[in-house]
Amino acid sequence: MSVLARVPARNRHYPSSYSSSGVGDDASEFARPATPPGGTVSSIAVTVDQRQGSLFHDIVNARASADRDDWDGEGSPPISEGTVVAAIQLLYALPEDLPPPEVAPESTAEISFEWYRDRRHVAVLSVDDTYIRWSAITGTDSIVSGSEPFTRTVPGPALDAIRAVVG
Amino acid sequence: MLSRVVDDEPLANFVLEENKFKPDGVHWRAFRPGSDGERSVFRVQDLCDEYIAATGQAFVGNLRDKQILGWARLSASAVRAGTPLLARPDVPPPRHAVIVGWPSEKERQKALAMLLASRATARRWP
Repeated sequence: MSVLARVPARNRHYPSSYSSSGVGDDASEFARPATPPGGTVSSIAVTVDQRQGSLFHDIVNARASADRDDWDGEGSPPISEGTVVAAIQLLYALPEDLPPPEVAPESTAEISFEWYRDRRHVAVLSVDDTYIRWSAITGTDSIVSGSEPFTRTVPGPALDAIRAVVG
Repeated sequence: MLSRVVDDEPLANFVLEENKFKPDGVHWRAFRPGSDGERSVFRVQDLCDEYIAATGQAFVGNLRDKQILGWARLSASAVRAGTPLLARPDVPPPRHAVIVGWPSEKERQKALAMLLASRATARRWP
């Protein structure tokens, strides 16, 4: 299924079954998309399989739940449109053999992708409109972390940590 | 109470959101520092669960108009071991302490929060 996907309006939650073959009025409210690292994006053309479609909607919903100041009652800043663009780019950079992550907004104005096996095996990839960061615990007392400018790819050390978690 | 938090003291990190519990413990987000750079905890040495719950409700839950759903419990030594973190008293309220020493990098904060969560045990309440 091929769709021209644009991030929908604020304060909307879409079920995973949602799909569109075009851009409606709601989607057109997504104005002024941010400039991601490496170039300008005026729209995001994506080919959506079922898994990616589900994660895409998780990203949209993560933004919708965190699109204003203090969205979590703890004074956290909102998720920006640029962060949504980066998260979608990250979604399509993930190797297909990885299990689907859990997507969530972060109090740090990032969107995170999390793989949780148990409390001693957890990996998190987070993006904002500039950086990708990774944090993981890969066994008892074994933690790793790192960051680099986001270039629409998953850094090797981050991928190693995710694979160590998911087994 | 002692003016410093000693290694064998148990600490309770109260949980107000269901999604901060996992089947095998407490999610790492429960241990992430707040915007003030501290993670609030309570010193619960010699307290029964009922008293711990009442303390959490009075000083944490009621402030946010929420019921406490439980807490993560870990020792002060588990906070210190192999980390730049430490727990220090921070009263009032009574028995309050904070975990401080967090690095500035977000990714390192998350990794340390994962480490603390891996060392903690969950207690759901009631």
